[in-house]
Amino acid sequence: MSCTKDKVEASNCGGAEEVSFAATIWPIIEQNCNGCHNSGAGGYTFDEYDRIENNASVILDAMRADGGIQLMPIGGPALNDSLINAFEVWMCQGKLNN
Amino acid sequence: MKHFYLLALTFTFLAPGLSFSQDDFDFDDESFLEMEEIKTFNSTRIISGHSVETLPEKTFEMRIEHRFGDIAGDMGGHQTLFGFDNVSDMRIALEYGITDKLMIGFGRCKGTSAPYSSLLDGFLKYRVMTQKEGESPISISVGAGSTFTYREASTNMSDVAYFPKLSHRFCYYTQLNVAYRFRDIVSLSLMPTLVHRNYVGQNDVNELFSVGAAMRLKLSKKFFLLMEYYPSIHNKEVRQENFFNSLGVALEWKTFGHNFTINFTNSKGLGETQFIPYTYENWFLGQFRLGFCVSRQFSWS
Repeated sequence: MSCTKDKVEASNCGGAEEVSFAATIWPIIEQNCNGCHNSGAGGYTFDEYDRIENNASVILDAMRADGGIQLMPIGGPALNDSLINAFEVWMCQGKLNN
Repeated sequence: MKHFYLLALTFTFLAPGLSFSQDDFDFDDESFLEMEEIKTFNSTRIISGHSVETLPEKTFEMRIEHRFGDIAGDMGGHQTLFGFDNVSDMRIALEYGITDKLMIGFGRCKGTSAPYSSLLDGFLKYRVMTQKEGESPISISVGAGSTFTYREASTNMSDVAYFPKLSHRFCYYTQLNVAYRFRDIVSLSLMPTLVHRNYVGQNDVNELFSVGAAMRLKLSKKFFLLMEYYPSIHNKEVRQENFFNSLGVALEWKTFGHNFTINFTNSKGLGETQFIPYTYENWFLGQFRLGFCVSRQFSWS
């Protein structure tokens, strides 16, 4: 065990272009998540930007079945890599409401 | 399967050696209340954090702590049966009194996933002095602990759970606990606590200081009201905008060997490295939850 004072490093998010919430992120959520999560299934509602922004880490973990979280969409298949990557880049760029 | 049989066999042989107090005492018998010395707090924990108390020598304690989902607000209400459908966190732990003044504990937390999950924790607590008429006007204990998350690292570089190094999975805390009891009616406690996280968000602080305060009020021989508040002391904008101080109220039910606490708190996480730096929830938006703790003391012989 050691003591460090490290922080998440600033990144250019892989040099990706700015990801639009309205044009890219919202359609991913609406088409793949809101079949169930428009009304609180499992304790999560993703019907607006604030709720998606607040739960972005959990959403990304669920898309990847990461960190012990169940794969979403439930029952699979997982979203294709380009959609997950777009979501990740959007998070990396500061979860903009653009 | 082989391991399961081995475990079952081991427990079968060891079980007769464990002495559970309820074999010797009537569960509803109140005579223990007369026999027992008056304590500042009934348990080694208040609501989320430590109390000044330590376990008696050679005594084990099994603890199960639980936090449900938001009672109200966006994530609560009748759709989730006021949070019952969701588990925010859960901790199971075994703790032990090495002497009357020194205790040790190990536990495992589910974690809240914001950002930690699959947490292992361990701590040591030492009782420096005990309030006694003519000897000491207050009780003091000191403690320190560590948590380690073994969750799968996130592949997102902007995530605190990205963990580029193994050491980034560790967090530590150290605490001074000063308490004063007025007869057996009111107990007050101050808990200055320093939390150190090896890896934090870009604008966050690695070291966070909090001065916890708590109160116990006796309602009857067996029932007590508890309150606990951990304000964080910092001047970082990111913390003021995104995080809240942990505030809890609880009803405690004391029985011989058992201790039950039913609480309401805005914190989802269990353990100082979670509920002090990572409380995102606001009481005023209904983001508080029901929780409970059941603890059971037993001896080996």
